[in-house]
Amino acid sequence: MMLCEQFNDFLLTSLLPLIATASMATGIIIALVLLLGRAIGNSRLSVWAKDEVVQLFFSLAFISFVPLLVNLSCTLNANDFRNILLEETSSEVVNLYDAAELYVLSAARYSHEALAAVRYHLEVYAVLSASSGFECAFSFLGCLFGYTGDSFSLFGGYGALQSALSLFFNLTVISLMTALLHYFILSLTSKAFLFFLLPLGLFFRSLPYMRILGSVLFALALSFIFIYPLLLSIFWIGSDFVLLVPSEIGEGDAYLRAEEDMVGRAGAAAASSVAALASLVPGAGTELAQAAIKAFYFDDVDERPYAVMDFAVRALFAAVILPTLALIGALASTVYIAKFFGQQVDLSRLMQLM
Amino acid sequence: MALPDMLASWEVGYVPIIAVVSLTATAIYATLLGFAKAFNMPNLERFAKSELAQVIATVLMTAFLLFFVGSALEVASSLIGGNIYCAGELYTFGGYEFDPSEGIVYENQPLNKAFELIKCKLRTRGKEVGEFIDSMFPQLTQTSPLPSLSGRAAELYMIYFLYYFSASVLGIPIYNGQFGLGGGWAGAAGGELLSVYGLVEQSRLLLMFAVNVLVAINSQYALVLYIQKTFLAIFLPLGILLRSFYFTRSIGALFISLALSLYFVYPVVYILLDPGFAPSSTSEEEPAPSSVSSLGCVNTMNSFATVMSSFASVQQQTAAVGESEGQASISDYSRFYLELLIHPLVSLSISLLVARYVMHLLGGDPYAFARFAAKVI
Repeated sequence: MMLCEQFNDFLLTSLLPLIATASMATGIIIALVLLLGRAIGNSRLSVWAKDEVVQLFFSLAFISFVPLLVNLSCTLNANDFRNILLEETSSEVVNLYDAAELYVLSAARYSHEALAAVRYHLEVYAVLSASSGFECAFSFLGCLFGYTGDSFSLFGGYGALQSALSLFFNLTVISLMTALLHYFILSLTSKAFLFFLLPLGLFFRSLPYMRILGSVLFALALSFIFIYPLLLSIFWIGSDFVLLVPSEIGEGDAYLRAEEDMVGRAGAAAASSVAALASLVPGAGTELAQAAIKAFYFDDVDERPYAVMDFAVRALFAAVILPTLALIGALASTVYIAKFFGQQVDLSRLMQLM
Repeated sequence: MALPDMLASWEVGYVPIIAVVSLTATAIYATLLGFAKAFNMPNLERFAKSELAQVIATVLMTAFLLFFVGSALEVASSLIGGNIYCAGELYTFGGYEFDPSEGIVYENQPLNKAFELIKCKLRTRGKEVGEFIDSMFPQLTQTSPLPSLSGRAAELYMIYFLYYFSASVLGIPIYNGQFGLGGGWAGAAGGELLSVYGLVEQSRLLLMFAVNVLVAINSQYALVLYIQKTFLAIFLPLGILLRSFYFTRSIGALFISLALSLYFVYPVVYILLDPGFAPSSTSEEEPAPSSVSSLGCVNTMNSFATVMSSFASVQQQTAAVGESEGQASISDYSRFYLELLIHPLVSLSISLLVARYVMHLLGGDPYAFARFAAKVI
């Protein structure tokens, strides 16, 4: 992630000058108020000024804490923890932000594979359930005496699996969208919160009557800059056990055929289906038609409707439940951190939204 | 990772991490304490002292958890010592087992077995649901050509033919299958057709339920697998680490409480609530069973496919037979619903209740987590 490289430049070129400006402005205001208090003999103004001096020092202390925290996140190697906790040996260096990004991207990729597998099976069953046949009333004469007979939806039973898989298709779509949403939230919060909200919070916290707003913004920024990526990186450590493709499923790429391959194969399948349906053996076309359709779709991947259902639910767990838990943990930390600054923050509505 | 290896990892890997974190936290808070004393800041001094006390609490907690993990295994062995059958395999909890590959006798670790049993039960139920869906719709597996319809399919074909067939002479209708709904031999076909539509609707509802059950079973399987592999190896040590610092104390408490409740409480409660669980005998006078098959003679719930099939068939015959058998199948229906959904849900709820109170004890805020868990479950 470019975040770590950009932060040091931002710290030196933008954040520190802003902090210096805010501190000087606050210092001047405090000095003027103290002088005024002494001049008119108002002890309340003097006490207020002294309190504000203490708060100013607190703000400067927090300001020095933030770069420490960000640099700690950029230097801690999540892989070291993985090696210790899971007894693995990997020399790759993965900081907290990279680990968090890796997890959400892996979850998105996993959901996409699940989506492809479910959609593939859904397409097969949609084709089969939509297939229909027509048998003329006098089959030995064909339809010479008028187009009368019976229409059959011979594979209509596949509609059952089609409707079942539709639910799982919706689940995987939600999983993929949620994983991408969390990726965007991670990108947004680690940059916008770090480069905009945090300086804004520090600036407001330095000013006397904007302290509450500044504390809330600072707590929010701190939670999403540190806590949210930390939780995602913890889930990344255990990601091998959650991003498991069910053993019955083949390689995900097999469900994503090249377009030119599909055209050629569709033509061959159509020709064999027409030949089968035109067969003179009564009803034999039905079996051959079904076999032809299934052979087209399942010659190099296995038909595993229940395994793809399992795949879809695992994608839901990996891409929706865990990242949402991380987000809720970050929001709960906001309340906790705000309490440290002496403010009570009510984020219950935001929690409900999550 | 086997539990004995986990304990070895505790001694080798976790303790140095906790030691480093505790020393770092002590250094930070001692600096803050010195700063507070130097500048006479009582609030900061109080905060620094309380945080130093928390560091000591973290070290003591680590020592306690090392002891607790071992004790929890013994308690689990005593609580769930017994046998359960799953998919024809006998799962024995507690006691000793012989490993033929290494030629050693080792102590049975009940919690690992408990997770394997839960996964086995979920796999079995999932397979039954899949088989039930396949059995409901014979067309899914039928490949025989149309003219050779037989049995019920041939009956259905005749019913549709009679219902939709119409004939007329010189424009005067002499037969229309749809006229006879009220009576007559064509009416019988119409009535039969309506019952077919009823059966189709019933099958649709059963399928909808079966799919929801499949989602629940697969979700539980994913959760159980994740708990087994990560909660003791990752969440517990990282929870202790995170609890050492003020800003991450709530998250650390969450991880510790989830690890303790879901890894230790959930499988024990699940096994104890399982109707097929047969506790091992503690009396030395009771003779050993003469064969393995006699151990399996315990009451178990009917399988999903059997009960759903009986429910579907009895519902069709309710009008002719009466309501008594219909009510009996409703009783079966509620029993397998209990086994598939209520039993795991109760076990999970009890575990989460424990987690909530442990989290409160460890200094976390369980409110947000409790709402999240309630919404998800």
